[in-house]
Amino acid sequence: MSKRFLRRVIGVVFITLWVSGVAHAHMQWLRPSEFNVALNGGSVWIDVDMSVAERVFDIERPLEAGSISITQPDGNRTRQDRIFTNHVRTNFELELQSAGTYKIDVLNGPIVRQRPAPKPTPVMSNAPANRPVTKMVSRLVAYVTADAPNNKAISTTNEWLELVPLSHPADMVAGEPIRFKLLFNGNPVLDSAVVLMPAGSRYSDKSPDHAYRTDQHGEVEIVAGLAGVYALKADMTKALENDPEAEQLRAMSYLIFEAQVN
Amino acid sequence: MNFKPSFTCLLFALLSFCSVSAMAAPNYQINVTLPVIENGQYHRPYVALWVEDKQRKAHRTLAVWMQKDKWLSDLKRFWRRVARSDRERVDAVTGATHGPGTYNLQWDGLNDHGETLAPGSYALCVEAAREKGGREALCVDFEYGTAASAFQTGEHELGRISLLKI
Repeated sequence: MSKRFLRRVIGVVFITLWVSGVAHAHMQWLRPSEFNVALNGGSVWIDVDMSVAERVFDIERPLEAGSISITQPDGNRTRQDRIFTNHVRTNFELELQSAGTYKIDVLNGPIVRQRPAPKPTPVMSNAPANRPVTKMVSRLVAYVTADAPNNKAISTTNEWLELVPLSHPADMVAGEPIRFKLLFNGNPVLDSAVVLMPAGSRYSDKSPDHAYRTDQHGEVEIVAGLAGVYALKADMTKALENDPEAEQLRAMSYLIFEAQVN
Repeated sequence: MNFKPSFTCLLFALLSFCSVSAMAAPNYQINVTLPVIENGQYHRPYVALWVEDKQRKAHRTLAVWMQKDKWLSDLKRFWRRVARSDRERVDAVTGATHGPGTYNLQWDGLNDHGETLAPGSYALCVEAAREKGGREALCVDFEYGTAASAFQTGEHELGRISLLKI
């Protein structure tokens, strides 16, 4: 086997890996250790993990979270500090002191991803050298309820892409319809794909993900067949006109919820 | 001349009708069987019994057999329906836990506020959860006031649950 041939093989393998890595963007996620807790007259600490990985809820590298805000059951927003960035995971702990529903809201970006420098890749003509300069923004939201649920934290920011629960997160039950609304800058997003991703996909041969589309009101009804933790993902790319920084916007929204046993 | 007796008669009929309707709440006998479980550690289950309508609104909490608050929310369906938002209701009907056996309760047919239920379809729900064990919830559908009896049999944490109009 000539050295030149070997070099070429290695080159092709390298390019293939690089291109596929770009094509299958990594998944950001956050996951509270509890979604529904009983206070029993005291307070309860929960843990919130965040990571970026090939598959949702796998732990690969820490999420460089832009801003983490917690909406308390009375509607007040507090900024989360004491965030630990570990080797493969970011995490923080949260004390639930009063009854009601809390919102954990993580906003990453917007950041502008520059056009990659053109590379001499005659083998792969669809290499991302001619990708438009993209502004990326993603939002991760989960709701946690202590004792009786309430609605003050179920709010919209009307910024970027948002999945808003229409069914109360504390009443999401396996096998029962659960409704959401998709908003972009506060306006409903019609006929757009949202993907339901259950935890534990590494243990199934077939992808357990399920795609839905929003209706003419921007609403979508899903059914989580089994009790467990799910991520609902919405993803939108749109051209930007007259934007000094980028040619297109890619906005993502993840809503992480628990389908409870019935 | 004969106007007066017929009026009295009418009044009497009306009164008796009213008193009958006030007493119309049907009485039920409820039997709950907790099975013998020999698989693994056995702790006596926490059990909740309640009556709900087709919209899953709870109308009457009949009994909660429990010990420590910490495990009450393991009765997940009962927690969602009643306990998380009405703890006083739970405390009002709390009793000691029971081991395997058949237990007998009477239901006066009234809701939590002592009123007769509106006619229609309801369900008697029973949920059992064991520390380091399983959980099972079972609802027995019945027509309020008309059905003579209904039952369901659980699969692992619950045995036969029956409702008999008496």
